[in-house]
Amino acid sequence: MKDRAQPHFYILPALVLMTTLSLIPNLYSVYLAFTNFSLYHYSDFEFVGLKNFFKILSGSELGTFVRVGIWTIAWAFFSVIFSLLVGLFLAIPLNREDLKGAKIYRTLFIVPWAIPAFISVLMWQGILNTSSGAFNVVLGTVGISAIPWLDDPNWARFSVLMVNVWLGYPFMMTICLSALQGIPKSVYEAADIDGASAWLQFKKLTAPLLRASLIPVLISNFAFNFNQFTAIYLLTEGGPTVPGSEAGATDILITYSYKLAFDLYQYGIACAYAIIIFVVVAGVSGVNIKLTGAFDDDD
Amino acid sequence: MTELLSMPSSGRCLSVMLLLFLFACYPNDKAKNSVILWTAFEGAELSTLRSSVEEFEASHGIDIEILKVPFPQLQRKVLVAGPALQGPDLLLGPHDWIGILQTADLLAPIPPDVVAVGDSSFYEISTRAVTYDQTIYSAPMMLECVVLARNTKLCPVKPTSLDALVEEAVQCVKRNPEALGFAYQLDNFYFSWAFMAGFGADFLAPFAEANLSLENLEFDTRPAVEGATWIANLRGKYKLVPPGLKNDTAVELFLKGRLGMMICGPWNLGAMRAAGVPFVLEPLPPGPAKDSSPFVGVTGAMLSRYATEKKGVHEVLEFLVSPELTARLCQSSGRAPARKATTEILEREEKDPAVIAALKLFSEAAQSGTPLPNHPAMAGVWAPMEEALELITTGQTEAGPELKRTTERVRAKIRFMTE
Repeated sequence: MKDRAQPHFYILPALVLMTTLSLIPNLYSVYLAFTNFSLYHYSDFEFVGLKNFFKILSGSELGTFVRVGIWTIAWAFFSVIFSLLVGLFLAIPLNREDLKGAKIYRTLFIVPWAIPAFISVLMWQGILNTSSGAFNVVLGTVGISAIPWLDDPNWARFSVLMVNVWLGYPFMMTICLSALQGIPKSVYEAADIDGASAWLQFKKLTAPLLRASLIPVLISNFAFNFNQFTAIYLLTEGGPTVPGSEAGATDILITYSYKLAFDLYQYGIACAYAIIIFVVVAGVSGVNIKLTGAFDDDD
Repeated sequence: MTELLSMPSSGRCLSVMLLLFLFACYPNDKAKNSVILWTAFEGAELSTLRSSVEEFEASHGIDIEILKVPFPQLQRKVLVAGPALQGPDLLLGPHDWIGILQTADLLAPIPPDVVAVGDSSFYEISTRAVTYDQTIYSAPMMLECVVLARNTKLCPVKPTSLDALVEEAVQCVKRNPEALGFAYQLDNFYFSWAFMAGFGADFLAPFAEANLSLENLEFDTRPAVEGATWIANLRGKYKLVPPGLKNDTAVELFLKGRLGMMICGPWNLGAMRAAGVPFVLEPLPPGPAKDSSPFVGVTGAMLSRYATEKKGVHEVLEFLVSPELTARLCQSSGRAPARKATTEILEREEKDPAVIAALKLFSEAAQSGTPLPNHPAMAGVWAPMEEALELITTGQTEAGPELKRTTERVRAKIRFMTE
């Protein structure tokens, strides 16, 4: 009896904290999504059913929702893919045993991860400033005219992605490195004897062997980037402006719902957005897991 | 511990819960007996407030607990903590929060013996700014607005009109190709409003009525369009303001002596005096129709509707607007007095002629300024207006059609907010 009860006891502190600090507030915000809680109904808000969801999915708000939703998915997808590519590209040479100074390189490449994200994002904001940023100053000295990194919608989308890849690749690199080290040397030796080229070895051996350990990471990374508030909000605040729309060119769903909640005091609608975000993230992750079978038991 | 482990699991669970509950209920006596004051004051202003509060506590036997909250978080914290009865008794904040906090049902009217509607011991603009729906919701302490700061080496001539301002700036760049003549963040509506008002724009007038009628909102009036076009020309036609210039950059350039003229508030003065750049402060030059009328913010003390009966709150409120305290605060922050008696004290006690001149200038500029509308629906104006200015000043759209679109957007946004 005692042995069976003990695990529950050890879990208890975490359980209490999760319930009070996470579960209850989340359930409460689910409730708020079905109320008219806003500045004008601050102390007297009431249950309004699905009205907030109809508001989001109709009229001019629908156009904003679709545009921001598509960009959010693209943003999360490309952030994951490019961080992976950069991380993997750096991990493969770093994994070579004959590389001198591998430890120094690894330390250096992990720096973006070690610096708090908001500091690097603010630093990038300065670097990318159109008139005084370091990039444009350097480009100016070689006669290239200023690029509106954060002031033109498409450049801004490119810039936020670039910064997010900067923030994200060290994690991918670390994961790839540890996954690469888990691949036995003997498979490559065998491939060498069979005369396989380096590219063929990567395609036929490294990639498939990495896949199993990478897929779960990629999925959770997608979900993380789907809600990557810091990179967007601190870099562009969702801007630059798109004519005729409340949401800016780089606004993702989470930054847009933040604006609804704290610039327009529309707490109910913001909560409805949060639920939609949750459903999308849960859905995408679920489909991914199903398709890849990544979490299936192997045995 | 072993006893706890051997208890039945439900009993253990309960006892831990009980323990947590007891911790949560531990009474905070200090908070109950002292007046709780939240502020975003910083630096010299905060230390002045603290030392004056200590003197007050000693002489009146009232405890005051000051909580400093960073300005960007202050309003949100009040909105969250207020209804939970965890908020401040008194809040030092800008008057344009009044509408929002009152709509959220958090404010009580200021007692008429502290400040009454039309109280002539205060400047008219002070009481006008803090009145919402015919009621005063903030006891005015200080005024702030922006003026023009001019580097006398780069720009020796005082501009007497907005055209002369442009001319002086263009000449400045001709003489010093490394410097900028006149620059500020053009899409900042807080700054740009002053010039639009100089062209005669008054499209914010409907926000003076608590019962706002959306049909009266019209942002694309002729003066507003002319003003916005003039602002856009600073970049497009005269090439004075580089693309993407933020206000921090403008201030930095001015401090380095590489910007001839900028828009400046009292909050810039400390750094400007320390930088050693030769400068003068002047009112913003008048526009073709009227004086350029900068937005005026009134820092005041707001009273929580949960604190009206609390012991000591009334005395603290009187202390906060007292000429003695506000004079000290004006000296430490450079902001202008909100009441006439404060000005008299300052004229008597301040010795530094530069400080006196700056206080006088900011005070006069504030008297002729436009109080920031304190209507809650202004929350639906700022972002569309800044975005419109962004599009107009980057040459992506024309002022006329853009401001027409802005009218529609603001109306839709306010409808969205209020329905």
